[in-house]
Amino acid sequence: MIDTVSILDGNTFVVSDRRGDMEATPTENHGLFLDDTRFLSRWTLTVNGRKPNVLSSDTLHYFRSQFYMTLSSGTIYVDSDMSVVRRRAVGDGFMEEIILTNHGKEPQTLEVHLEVDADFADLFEVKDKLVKKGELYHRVTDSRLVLGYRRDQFVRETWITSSQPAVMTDNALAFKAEVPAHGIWRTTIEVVAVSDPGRGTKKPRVKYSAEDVEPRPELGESLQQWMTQAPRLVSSWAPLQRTYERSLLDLAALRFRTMITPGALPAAGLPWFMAIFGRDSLLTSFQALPFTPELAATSLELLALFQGRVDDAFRDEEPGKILHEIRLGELTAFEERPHSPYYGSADATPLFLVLLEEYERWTGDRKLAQALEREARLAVDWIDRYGDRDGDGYVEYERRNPDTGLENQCWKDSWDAIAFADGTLAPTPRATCEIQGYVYDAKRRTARLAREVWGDPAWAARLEQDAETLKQRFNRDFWIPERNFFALALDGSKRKVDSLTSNIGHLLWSGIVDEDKAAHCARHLLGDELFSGWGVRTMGRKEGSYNPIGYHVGTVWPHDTSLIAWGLRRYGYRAEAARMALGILEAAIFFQYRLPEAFAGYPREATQFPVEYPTACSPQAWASGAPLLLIRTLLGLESDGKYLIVDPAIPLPIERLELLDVPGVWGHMDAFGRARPAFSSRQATEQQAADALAAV
Amino acid sequence: METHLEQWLESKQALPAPSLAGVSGTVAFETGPDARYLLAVHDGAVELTAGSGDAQAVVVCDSKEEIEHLLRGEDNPVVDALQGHLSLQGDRMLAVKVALGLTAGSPFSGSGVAAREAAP
Repeated sequence: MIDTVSILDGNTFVVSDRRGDMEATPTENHGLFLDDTRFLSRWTLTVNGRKPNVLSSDTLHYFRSQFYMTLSSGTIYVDSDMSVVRRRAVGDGFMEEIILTNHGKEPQTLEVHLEVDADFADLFEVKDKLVKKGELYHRVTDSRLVLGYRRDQFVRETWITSSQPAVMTDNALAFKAEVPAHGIWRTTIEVVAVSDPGRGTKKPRVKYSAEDVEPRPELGESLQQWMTQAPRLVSSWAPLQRTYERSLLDLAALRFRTMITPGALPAAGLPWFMAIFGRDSLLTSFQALPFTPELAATSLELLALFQGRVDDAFRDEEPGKILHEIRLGELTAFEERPHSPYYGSADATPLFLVLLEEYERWTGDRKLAQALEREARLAVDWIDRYGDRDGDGYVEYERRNPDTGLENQCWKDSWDAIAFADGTLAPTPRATCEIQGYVYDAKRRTARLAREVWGDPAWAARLEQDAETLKQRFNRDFWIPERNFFALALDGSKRKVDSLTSNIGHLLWSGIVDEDKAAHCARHLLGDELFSGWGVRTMGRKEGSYNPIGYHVGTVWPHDTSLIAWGLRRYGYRAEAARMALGILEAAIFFQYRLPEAFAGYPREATQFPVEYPTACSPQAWASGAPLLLIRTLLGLESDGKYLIVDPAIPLPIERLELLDVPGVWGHMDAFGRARPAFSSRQATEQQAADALAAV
Repeated sequence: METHLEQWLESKQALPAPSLAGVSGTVAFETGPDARYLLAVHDGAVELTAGSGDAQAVVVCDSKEEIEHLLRGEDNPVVDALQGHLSLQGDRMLAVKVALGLTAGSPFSGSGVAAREAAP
């Protein structure tokens, strides 16, 4: 059961328990967070010294939650006559309304007590259990409780005010609530998160009042516009409809505005990754491109702005490199962490090129592609000059910041992700296979832009030649003939890291796989070792490091499976892709239609339902994007730069699938698909063709 | 600390700034109305003047030393903003582009931000 309630708005989010209380501990990531800082770590309500009992709690909207509770009568035989309701809306802090309703015939006087505290922990301090270096202070002035933190000029404050008179102390607000018979008592409390108080002319305020029921956009479009501008999905299979709507809503909630570029890009996920991540923003934008292409435009613009300019070992930065992550907390401010921005990602740069080409081909927006020509050239230059550290023709990574840099700079970035079949870790530098696929794809796509948009056919030819050479070498150097799949990586000694992993599916997406090897990959991806029945495990279950609840060594990641399904389509494995898509979409039903970042890799036949991964982010951007790419996969949507191509392969439970008003270079078009029981796998199709030929 | 701003103003000529190739616009660096410096950027060249002229973007700094550090490309502007040494107004994208561009090579400094050793 989910025991936390999370609401968010842009860069602000609140995580509480089902009572609405926040009690941050090393194991509970409760609190009010803004810009990677926890502005409230304790917020607990008692009435007459007791915590109310929860009846129900829910998020009404991504920014709003409510908690229905009651005061215990002390025995199950006597009904309670006092309801306690908390309503909360987040935005630059939060607004909370506390309502006591007396159902009894006698008036009541109650002591309402809110205990508060703020540790102003940087998210890295929360994760790594570090102590603060600055000074915490509390004060009460003009009926406002101020919780503050100062370190040199870095000042963060939480301002708490109430509509009802309260006795304020350093750590509490106390109310004497007179609740008439059959009457109510209410107070509205504003909790404002303030960065650098005194700077700027605008008085800090929370975004929402008690009356607001609909989200208000910071800039640009409202949620209503966001939802109506996306294609309308109609399906005979109700879960798909609900999952689609949930995905769009979550992507709306995760829109991250920087105040630097217009528009928004997807933040990675709640709670740990409400920040800009190069890889996550790029892949989510890719998944969402046929639905909300504006995310891709903003992602490309912002990542181009912060493209690496200097050689800086602390930040793992090199000229032309696309960033890994930007953080805005104290440790970043004082350069105790390198995230200003941090560039420890070896795949974001080729993925930037992949998205740029996909975006231009899908939307026809040549203006943006033209504006980013310089950045694209720098990105290709980074791949060849810096990404390939030792000149062997492959992009490999090894952190240059050994203290706070990331050991793994691919999407599987946990410490134990890159291991041999016997479980031993691969020495660095590591050249993971999927990065080579991304590079291949990036060069081919950039070649098209060079030829068609930037008018440089000579460069286009060079890029295509580079890509072709890479493909030939890759299929020779990474292939493990005795196991019939591609090595997860080449290690520092150029040994093949021989674990079976989901990474081989990304190779299909990239197109780097030779035709004769693709069939083996497809068989592995749908085989018992990798396919759990819901999705593709990150690592095969016979490998030495396999753990069904290991972050990158056995769990199923919906975004991973969505890219793999799209890759299977690319190689003609329509039935296999549909089966994979259906598995993930069926799993979504068990997660209230919101796919988490990852879930356990236990076999479906053993558990019957997908088992949660304990610390998965939810909502998480590329998990929210996964159903969108899976819908694209089922309908076989592609752009040839002029027209929308529709080539459906729909599995039976779905029966009918319509996607109306798909935006693109063509304006808006509709896509339809229906299940055909007899539609077949690529092998079957090939066999039929062979039989037909033989008959002739 | 004595700043070099006045010295730089005396040059009264466009200076090459290859790290700002492809960037054009005017950014004001100021601590207040009395200390306002306009950096006009023209696709790889810059010109510094003092005064109250128009600018698409304004970088409000807490000291003249901060302005000098930024113009020299010595400071990471993201870090300075997080520490409360500067804030941005107007066309923030232009301001960030210019401030980050200067870290890769500034005409007011020999080499911009030098390559750093791992971990401070």
